[in-house]
Amino acid sequence: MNNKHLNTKSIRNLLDHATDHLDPATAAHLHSARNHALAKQNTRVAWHGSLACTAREHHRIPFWALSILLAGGLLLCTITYWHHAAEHDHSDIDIAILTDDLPVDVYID
Amino acid sequence: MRLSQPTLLLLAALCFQSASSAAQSWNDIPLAQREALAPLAQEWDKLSEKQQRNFLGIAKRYPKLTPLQQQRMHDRLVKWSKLTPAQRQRAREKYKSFNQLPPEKREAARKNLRERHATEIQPRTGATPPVGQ
Repeated sequence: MNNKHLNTKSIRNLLDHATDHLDPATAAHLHSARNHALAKQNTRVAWHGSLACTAREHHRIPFWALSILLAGGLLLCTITYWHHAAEHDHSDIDIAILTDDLPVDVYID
Repeated sequence: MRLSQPTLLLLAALCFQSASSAAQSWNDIPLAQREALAPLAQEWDKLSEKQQRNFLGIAKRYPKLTPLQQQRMHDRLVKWSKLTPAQRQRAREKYKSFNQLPPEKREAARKNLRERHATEIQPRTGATPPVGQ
């Protein structure tokens, strides 16, 4: 075939022709590789699919409910963090009382 | 919004971890902090998680104290741990208001308190208590 007449259609025809005449062993090998790649892709989608997506598709949990849940979780984390931080603030004053030259008793009713 | 399951699990684990910090056993505490809190060794496990956290915060500052301050702290730790949360809170407030007094008034008040404490202790022990005990 003359190179000057090569176009998309002719290339596709050539490839189809070549594919139709692949030896059975190569065809089987390619088929097996394709199946393997598809299986891997399906597994990845199952494991890494988002919870939001899964919930929407399978459990029909609305997106706004998930957003509220996530925001609530973050709020809880923040409150807990500040609560712990506030508790640790006592250690400064506690150590001052515990090491003061006046006994602890004078600060206790 | 597409968050992967591992990310969400990690977020949930972080939330759970920060919301519930478990009590620490005496042997899990670093050696330096155990040394600082040595008088509490026997009753450590009976303390609430909140108290344990507070004492661990105190223990972190222990190495920066002078030997006299370290001694005072050791002498007072058990008594401090046995106070109720309300008593400790009142003591903190009293200490804060006491330290807000002008220096001369504070010194006079200190002297007064020291003498009053000595007279309260003397009839019981029959001896003058050492300062800072």
